[in-house]
Amino acid sequence: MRFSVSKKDFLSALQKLQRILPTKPQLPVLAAVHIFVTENSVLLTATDLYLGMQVPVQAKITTPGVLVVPGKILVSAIASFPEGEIVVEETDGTLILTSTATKVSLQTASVAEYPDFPEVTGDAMHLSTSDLLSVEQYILPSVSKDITRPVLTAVLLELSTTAFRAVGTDGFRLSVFGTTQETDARRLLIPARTISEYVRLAQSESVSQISLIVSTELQQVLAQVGECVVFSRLVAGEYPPFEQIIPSDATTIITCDADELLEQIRRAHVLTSASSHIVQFAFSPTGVEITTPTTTDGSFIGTLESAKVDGEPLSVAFNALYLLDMLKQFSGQELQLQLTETLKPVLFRSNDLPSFLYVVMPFRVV
Amino acid sequence: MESRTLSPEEVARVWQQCCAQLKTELSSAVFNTWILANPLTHLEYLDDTQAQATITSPTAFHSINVKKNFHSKLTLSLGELTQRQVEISYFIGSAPITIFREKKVQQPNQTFMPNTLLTRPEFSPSPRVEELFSPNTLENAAVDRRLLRSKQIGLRTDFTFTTFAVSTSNEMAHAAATAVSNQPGSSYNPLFLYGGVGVGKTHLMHAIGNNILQANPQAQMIYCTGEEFTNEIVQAIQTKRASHFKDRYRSAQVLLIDDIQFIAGKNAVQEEFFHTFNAITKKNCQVVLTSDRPPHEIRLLEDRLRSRFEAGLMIDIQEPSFELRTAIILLKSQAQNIALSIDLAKRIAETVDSARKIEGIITLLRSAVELQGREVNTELIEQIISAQKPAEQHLSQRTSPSEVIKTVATHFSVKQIAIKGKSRVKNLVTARHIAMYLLKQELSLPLVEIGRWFANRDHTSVLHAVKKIEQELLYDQQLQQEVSFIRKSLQA
Repeated sequence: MRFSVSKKDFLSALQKLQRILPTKPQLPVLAAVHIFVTENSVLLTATDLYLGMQVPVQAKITTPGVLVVPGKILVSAIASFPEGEIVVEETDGTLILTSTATKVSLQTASVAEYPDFPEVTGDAMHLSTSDLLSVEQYILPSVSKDITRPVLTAVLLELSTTAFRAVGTDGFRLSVFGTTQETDARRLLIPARTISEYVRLAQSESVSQISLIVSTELQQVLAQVGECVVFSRLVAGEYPPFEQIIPSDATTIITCDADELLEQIRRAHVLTSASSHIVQFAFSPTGVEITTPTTTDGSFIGTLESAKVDGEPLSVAFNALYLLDMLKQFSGQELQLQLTETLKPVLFRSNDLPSFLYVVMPFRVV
Repeated sequence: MESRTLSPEEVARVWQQCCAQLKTELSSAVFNTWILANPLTHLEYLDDTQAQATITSPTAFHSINVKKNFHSKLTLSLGELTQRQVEISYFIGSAPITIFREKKVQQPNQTFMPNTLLTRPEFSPSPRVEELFSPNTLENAAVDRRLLRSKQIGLRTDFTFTTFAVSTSNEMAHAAATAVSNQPGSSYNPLFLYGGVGVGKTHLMHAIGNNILQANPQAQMIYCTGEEFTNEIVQAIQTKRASHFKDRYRSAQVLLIDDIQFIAGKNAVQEEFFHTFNAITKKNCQVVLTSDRPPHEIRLLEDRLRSRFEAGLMIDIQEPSFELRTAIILLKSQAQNIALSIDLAKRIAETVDSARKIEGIITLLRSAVELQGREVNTELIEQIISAQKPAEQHLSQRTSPSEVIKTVATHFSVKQIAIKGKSRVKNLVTARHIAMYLLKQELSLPLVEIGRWFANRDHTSVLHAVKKIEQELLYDQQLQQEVSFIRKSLQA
């Protein structure tokens, strides 16, 4: 096997793969990059068996071949190379990289041990990069990182030809973005990590949309992002009935400036490290008071200048982290909080951002 | 031998043995990735020589690579363990929990764990947050949703079947309403409820609506009064949106119209209602109507409408009896969180005849308790009752004693002379006692004077009569009805 490639192209392709390469692989061979050279293409591949990526590289090919070489060291080596052309060559199980005044030999791994990629076929669905960015911005912060409930570590995507909706939750808060779906929409549970990869790739490839091919039988989704291909498993399981818990009615509605609220919660949060990040809100027609429970560190009291309270007086307690995460997204907007009871879910929304709903479960403070 | 599917425990045992065997042959990394993560989840003995096995993998990557690299090893190993020719199929998904419980000890690096570990370790135990998707939250949300829907439709959420007191006078109506709400459109269509004021027609209608919403919150339901229906038509004609109006009403799955008698005499409204009615019943959707009188007594109602109303189930709701009134008082006071004893409830029921007045009295009672901080006792009840009927007393003071005697005599179809006389025939005695009672209660005449009206009887005889009637009124329903009837005719 022998081909020559520019350092810039080779490195950028390898950097795309770098995030896929597992740091602690189950199988040693998974820490490697698979290089597949045919008559007219060079394809670089990495996978941790849950997520896989294939990136093509522009190269001048002399002889085709296949090899598997440890990924991290290959990336570091290429990154250290001087600009210019690199000749990549394999002889007797050794990969030799040659550039101006530089020659690096790397031990290769067994090609036979490298796992095969599944073949995913089916109809393609399209997802625009702007929608993907919204998913990253509004949905991903809510998605659970708790692997004991696999379903909640995924983003629920509902795709139809005309509309799109994404949902994320960790069981304590819920983000819904997009328009209400028709019944024929395809429901996919895509791992949050896969979505981040899509976003990153779509941005670096600067494409306006990505296409998804789904195989229900294989529980796989294949994404075509520009020239790159991302393989991912789908999460199996029943997504919780999120539509049912979106509050339908409110007895107390608070309208306030999102930035002011965010600032106050940030200040309050400083004093909550000893009290599970709890921030208490007392809403009454005279205004909003934000407090933290008194701990050995001290306590916080603040009010909101911009707040307008309609309805019954009410007090609730939230985990400040849940609010800090999401209030950023409402920056510069007028935020509306809709509450019914102290322990019932609270709806956050903004009239400037009608397609986004954020529901948070309040704390029971004993 | 017939085919036999092995139980999950047996499958797990076979798989453990298989793992033990393969572990010695493979490197631990390979074993963990390709064998342990892809367990055997199903094993079926087809006969003595054949078996069918399923290997479940978490992803397609695992599946195809296990199949490619380890198919022969697995077939061989499973074949030895089961003493059969094993056919392996590969499946992608999460394996059932039972398998993982067996495996958990062996594979600490397994990514799945039983679903019980839900609490998040970074939170201290004292403040708690309930899960968004806990059954409690889901149920609350469903109730909220239904209440909101009821409100939007215009139904009173406190008017349900549970808050409706049932007795002989309205059990028929209650049964029909329950049947209709359980199977809207199929049991009785239309349901026509009629009766006087305050007998519970509207309550039943709201209860039907609320019950249908409970079963199906998405039901398309319209509730309005005959008058609102009329106004809407007028408005629709005014704003030239008649088609909009028609679409709205004719797409309803449940149409509830209160006080339908108001549309009588309005021809355009009756015609529109006629078509709406036909459109809805044709789709087997439910129509419920209430009125203060039966269809054949509604004047100026078109014949085609009358015949349609009469084709459904018509039920008359009677005036509530004493017991029912007592039950209603207890139910309503309970709903308002007022602790009312049964004796006090009876006392109120004696003096109040319509269910709507009961509501007024309960409201008064609540305001007295909440605003004035008074205790619920006989004194308070008496005060409220007496405050309720100043008009009655005013009327009766103008009545003359002879009028009272005359009315009583007419009611019992006896002669006035006989009542005033000495005869002690049973029906005369009752009439005489009632007359004495009324003279005492309504006109507050002195006992001696009452005696004079009845052949100069002694004042003690009069006192005896008044006390006797007072006693009997407490439990004799017949007597109650008679006395209240005589009172009413006196007031008229």
